[in-house]
Amino acid sequence: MNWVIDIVQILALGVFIYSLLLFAFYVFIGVISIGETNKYMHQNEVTDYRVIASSVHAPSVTIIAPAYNEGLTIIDNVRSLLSIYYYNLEVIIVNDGSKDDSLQQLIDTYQLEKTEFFIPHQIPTKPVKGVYKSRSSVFRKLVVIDKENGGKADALNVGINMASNDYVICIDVDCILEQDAILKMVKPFMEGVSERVIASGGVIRIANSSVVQNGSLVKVRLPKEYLPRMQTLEYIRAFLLGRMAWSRLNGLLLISGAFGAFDKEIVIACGGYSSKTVGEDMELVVRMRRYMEERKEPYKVTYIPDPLCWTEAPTSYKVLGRQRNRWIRGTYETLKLHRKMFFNPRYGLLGMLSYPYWFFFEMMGPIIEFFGFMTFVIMVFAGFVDWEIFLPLLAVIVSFNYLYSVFAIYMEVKTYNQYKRKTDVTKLLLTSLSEPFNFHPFIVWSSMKGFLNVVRKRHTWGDMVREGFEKTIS
Amino acid sequence: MLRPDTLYRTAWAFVCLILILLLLIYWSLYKRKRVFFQQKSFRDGFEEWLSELMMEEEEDEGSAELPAIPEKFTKHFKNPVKRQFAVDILMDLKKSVSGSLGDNIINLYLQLGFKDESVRKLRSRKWYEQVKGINELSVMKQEDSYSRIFKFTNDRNIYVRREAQTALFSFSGFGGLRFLNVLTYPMSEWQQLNLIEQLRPLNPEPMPGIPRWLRSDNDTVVLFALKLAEIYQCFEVHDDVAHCLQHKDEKIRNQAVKTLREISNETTAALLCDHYPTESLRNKINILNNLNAIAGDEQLPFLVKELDNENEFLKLGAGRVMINCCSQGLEVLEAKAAEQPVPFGDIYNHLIYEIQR
Repeated sequence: MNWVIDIVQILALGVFIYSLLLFAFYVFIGVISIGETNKYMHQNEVTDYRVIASSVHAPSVTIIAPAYNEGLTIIDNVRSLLSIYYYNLEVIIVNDGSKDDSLQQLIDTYQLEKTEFFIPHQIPTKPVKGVYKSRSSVFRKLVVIDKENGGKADALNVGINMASNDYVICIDVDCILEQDAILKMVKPFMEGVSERVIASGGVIRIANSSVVQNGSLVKVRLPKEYLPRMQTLEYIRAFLLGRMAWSRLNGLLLISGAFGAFDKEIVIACGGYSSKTVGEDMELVVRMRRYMEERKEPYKVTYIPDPLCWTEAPTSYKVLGRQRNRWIRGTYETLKLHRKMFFNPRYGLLGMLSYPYWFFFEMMGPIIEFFGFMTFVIMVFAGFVDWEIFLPLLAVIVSFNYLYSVFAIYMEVKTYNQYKRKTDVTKLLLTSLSEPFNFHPFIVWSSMKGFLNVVRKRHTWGDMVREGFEKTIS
Repeated sequence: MLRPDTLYRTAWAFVCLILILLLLIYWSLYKRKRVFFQQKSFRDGFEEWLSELMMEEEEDEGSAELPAIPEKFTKHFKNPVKRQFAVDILMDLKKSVSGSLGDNIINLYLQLGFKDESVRKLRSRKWYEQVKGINELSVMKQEDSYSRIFKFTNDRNIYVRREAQTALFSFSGFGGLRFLNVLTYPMSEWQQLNLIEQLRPLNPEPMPGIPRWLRSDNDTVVLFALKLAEIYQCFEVHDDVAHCLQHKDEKIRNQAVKTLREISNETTAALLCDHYPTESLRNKINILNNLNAIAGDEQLPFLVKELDNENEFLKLGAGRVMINCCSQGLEVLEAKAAEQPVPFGDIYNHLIYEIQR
């Protein structure tokens, strides 16, 4: 039996080293994000964004928002997009074969008429049934495309084919953008001198329980429900710390599909969004980076820490589970498609650091945790657990988890301070206490179901049930 | 390393760090709230005093001396945070008024000794302090700082040199462009747009430096000069701009096409058509977009050939120029649509719809 013990010890050592590396990465991310966030805040002190809002010389931007059965909220959402403060703007709504009356509502409200429109087929897509523009000059920025259902990636590709501007901002139609969101997203593209900025990501924040009026967020509130509140904390950690640090290193692999800006020329050169994966947002960024690396052209993927985009988070375990199931499948599919880059020095930091980080910690993390937990349960029943070591080790892991969460909340308070009341901050801190025992295991479990779907070759998106934002009477 | 006491000590260390962070969180929230209310009370008082002062000054325009500053404010000004707060209020006010009221704000800024602080910031080792100092001196029109700020226009730090370049424009309008003669660092498009927007409200003045800037070793200076030549329609630099079509930088060639449209003469359209085959796809689309304003019947054979290009964007662009600029363009496209409905029928309908709108 000695060999069994040897194997278990080697595995335990492997997991220990893995955990140490993960801790080290978190510390590294935390430290780097402080410097990057400070720099950004100082930059903004003397930046006047209004200058470009009304400038005819500002870069032209197209917002693309795919919509599928969004009849409940589509009118407010489009109104919100049309009210954004930017001169050179076009808003394209792609109705992806909705079964509800979304299109008719848009036609009636925005006085749309079907136009003769030639769409150059730069990226192959499902057929377009019609292109609509408004008869009223008030809505001259709006274009609505009606197409056969082909999924989110296909709808975005139609929008990209149709976009007449240099930069495209792809968003979820139900997201609420801040008034200055476009100004802030466009700036990084204009700042790139020695490196071409090919994409820029923005922070997504949770809007559950916040007050929305006429499609605009008028009051930020901490979500009342547990799950959205937990995701608020999760998003703060991911966006304010993780992505900020990766952006500093120019190693960002993911720009959220809910809100991302892209250089249209590079997107088209890369073939647009892929319909073969459920993680089309991550896959596009990885493919664009790979394209630039292979051409040895200097480039950058940037990231804006300002809270610019607000979205509704899942409130039930069922919907949240589906979302995380999809995310892990998207990660797996993207990494598999681009496995050539794994520890490939030809791809520089992308191949030697970003890809391996995502592989070992973002993709393999749930697997290692799940099998670690299973092994632990077996060892408990077999009486192999050394409790004298286990309990202090658990204390280290749990306390480090709390430390990271508290640090993220501290960064939020010091920077954007969206939740100004002490009670809200306290609630957020208390919410973090339950994370290691409730929320995190659920996420791991959902990810494992995602891997199971990969094995079974199930390629579904899973519906996101919207409950709608809290509204005031306007 | 995996000894229980070491692990417990590590956990305790984390717990201590958590406690420190918790203290910092609540301290930050408390401080933020306190500063908000203190500043609010100071702001309300200071703004009230300022508005009274401004109204008095407006009625009594001849008086050069400002009245004494109330003691309650001089006491507050010993606190650097409140001093900065007062400077910020004055800056906001200065940006929104002009004429004698603006001069009074500047006098107050000087009388309160804030200028010394702005100059001190210029000497700071922190870039964001330097930026703030330049910004304050520029808004408060402290033109005697011109030469000091000019040195910063080619500073290593992008934000410092950006603010310094903006300040020069604020001091001397088009005269501020002289920094382009010495600029060795790149100037981002964001900065170029800022400067263009700053020049926009001013009456145009001759820019004799443009030919020199168009031949600068600094590509971003060339790009900026091309934009100036486009906006201010500098016809005299047509040949220099045409020369930029051969530049190695794609962005410069792209901008040169746009500029040529604005300063075009009878040779420009042909020049762009000759240059077209050597260009990237992006610039080909750009050339067709700009030919739409300057092409004529002589370009029809070139455009008919482009209809057969594989790229559908180029087909559409060529069709648009034909319809808008060539007397026989519409007929040629109509015949092409009848002969080959896909895609020319769609292109034809699209362009007719565009014209009707």
